[in-house]
Amino acid sequence: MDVVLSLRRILNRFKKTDFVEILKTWNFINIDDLYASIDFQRNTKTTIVSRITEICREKNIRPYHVAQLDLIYQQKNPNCKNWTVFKLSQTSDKNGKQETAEYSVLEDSLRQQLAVFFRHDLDSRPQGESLWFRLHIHGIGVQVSTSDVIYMVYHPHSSYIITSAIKVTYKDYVLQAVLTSLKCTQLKELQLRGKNLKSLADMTLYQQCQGSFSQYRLNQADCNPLGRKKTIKRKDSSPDALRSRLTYENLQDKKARICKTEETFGTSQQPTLERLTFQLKTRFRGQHHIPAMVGHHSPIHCTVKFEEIGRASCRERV
Amino acid sequence: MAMDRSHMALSQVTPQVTSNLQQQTRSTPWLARRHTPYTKTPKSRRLTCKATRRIPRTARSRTVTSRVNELVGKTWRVYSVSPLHSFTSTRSHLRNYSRHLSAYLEAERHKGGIAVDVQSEFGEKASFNLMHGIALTEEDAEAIEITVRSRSQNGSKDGKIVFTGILCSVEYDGVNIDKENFVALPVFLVKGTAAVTRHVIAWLKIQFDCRINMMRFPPMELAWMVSMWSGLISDDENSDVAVVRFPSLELMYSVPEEVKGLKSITMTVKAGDAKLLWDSVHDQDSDDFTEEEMESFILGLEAHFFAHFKINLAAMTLCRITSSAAFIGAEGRVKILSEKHVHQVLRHFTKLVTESRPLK
Repeated sequence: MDVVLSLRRILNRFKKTDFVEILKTWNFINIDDLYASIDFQRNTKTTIVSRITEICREKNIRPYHVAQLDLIYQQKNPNCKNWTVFKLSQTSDKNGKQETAEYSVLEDSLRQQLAVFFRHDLDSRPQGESLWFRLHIHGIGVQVSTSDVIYMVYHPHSSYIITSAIKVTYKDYVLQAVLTSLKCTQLKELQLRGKNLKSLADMTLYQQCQGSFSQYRLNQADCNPLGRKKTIKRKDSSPDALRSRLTYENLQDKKARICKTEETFGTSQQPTLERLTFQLKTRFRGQHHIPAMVGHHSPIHCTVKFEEIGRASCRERV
Repeated sequence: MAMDRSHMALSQVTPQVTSNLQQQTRSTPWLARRHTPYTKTPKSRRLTCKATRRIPRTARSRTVTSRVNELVGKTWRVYSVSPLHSFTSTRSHLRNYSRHLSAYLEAERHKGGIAVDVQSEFGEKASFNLMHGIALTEEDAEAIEITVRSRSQNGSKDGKIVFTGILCSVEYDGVNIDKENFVALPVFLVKGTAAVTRHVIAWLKIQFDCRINMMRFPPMELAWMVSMWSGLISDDENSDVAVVRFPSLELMYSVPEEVKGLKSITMTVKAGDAKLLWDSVHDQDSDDFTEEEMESFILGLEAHFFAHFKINLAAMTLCRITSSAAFIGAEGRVKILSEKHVHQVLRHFTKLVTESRPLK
């Protein structure tokens, strides 16, 4: 009953268009059987969800399958959670042994370490170069709440791990378990938090490789030697060229600005920033307007926050 | 203005046909100020209240407790109210008004089929009370508190409050109003659900023949308020411990829509440093805060920001400020932070309301 309840909860979060794709990836139910009894276009979501739950109950679904479904859903919609980045560091290992990147070994060692602290369920699923963990801590009582489930994204051989929100009571223990299982000595929470997982991962993993250097990382520097060069010069038939009476007042300025921006930031897509906070402790620089402050050399404490309060489109319902 | 001058010029040039001309070109019945829809920025503003708190003289001469601290710490929406016609604040009249408003809300409920407040099932009950401690001078009318509670199933127990409104005035010095028929309570602080607010305001407009408008604070007004009130940490509490407790000076600017990827810029200055800047701008002896002082203060902060980020804050719109006295939002929301500053803030709002009304 408990398993079916959590399955229903997870299925309720899906968008109607996502069902087929996710169920195919999940592969627990044969999709052709489903097509026989559900019309994914016409039926309401509640009917679809109850039908799928029925079928799963008949097939005797286990918590492991539910966890995998949940992981697939989270991997598809990573921008719903608030992610925090942690940096792992270890004391210099004299023999320089590389840590294993075997997913099963990592999962087993983490499970072992967590077993010291809680009764839990740990599942993992790789995505690209990263390994996603889903940790479900069994709290006291039968009730399952979303705050008992923690998602962690680990890129093996990197020293960063990104986690979703962890309850304060569990935080120290979970982080200790992660530390021990990855054989590191120190874990630091970075001042890097946000909803967009891909941007966070890009910024932490490719810290030295941003801006105009990203062209090397993204393989944009070298041109394709086998590519054909355009030899025939076509007439410029853009609509602006046709309107000869259009003039730009500050074309040089515009071009210089674009050039400078591309030099600094590169031409690829930038990571999305939600909020940027600066802490300033500098001398007052507005003395032109407040002459009485000319003699003052003590610093002014100032905090500046740039915010992009947009709403990412995602629905997260329990 | 242009039209008036041309009229004057005509009448000076051709005096012999003045009478004819005057019949044709009679001075316009509209106010000259309609050409300038915005009010002129005053040259200076008072910082502190003129009068100290007065103790109301009641027949039984017992001191009535001041309810000023109920205003502190809550977010209010501010409305401006024109003088109320035939409003009396005796107890029997207030009871009458309570009954009328409850009946009105009941009628609205029957009209619509659902209660005015969606949560309450049995309708609402209104009550009018005097609120002591807010009015300061002899000119000010005593503040009135309007509460609407949702009725609970057994009539005896009072349901929860769905609307609180406070009509008040502090140091009202508006144009001479007809004191016998009109009462001036220009500031209306409102906290409640949208539906109930709408109905209460409609009833007040009908009952007392007044105009009630939402008060919006344009960036200029916000700049005045933040410059005036940043220095309000009094000297005797100026130890480091006290300064840490006070909220810092905060300016929130909203970025124009053409800029993609950035919606707002917030600049926060620590309270102690804000006070330092304020002291260096303001003339310590005078009680007035002049326009030049306000300009220097704001421009100084913007220049400090520009030196670090090369962004001109003057090109953005100021939409929310925090000072040691209050949080104020441009859409008319205010949250007063301490009891000491209630009168100053309300006095300023009273002044704004009277200034925005055209003079006859």
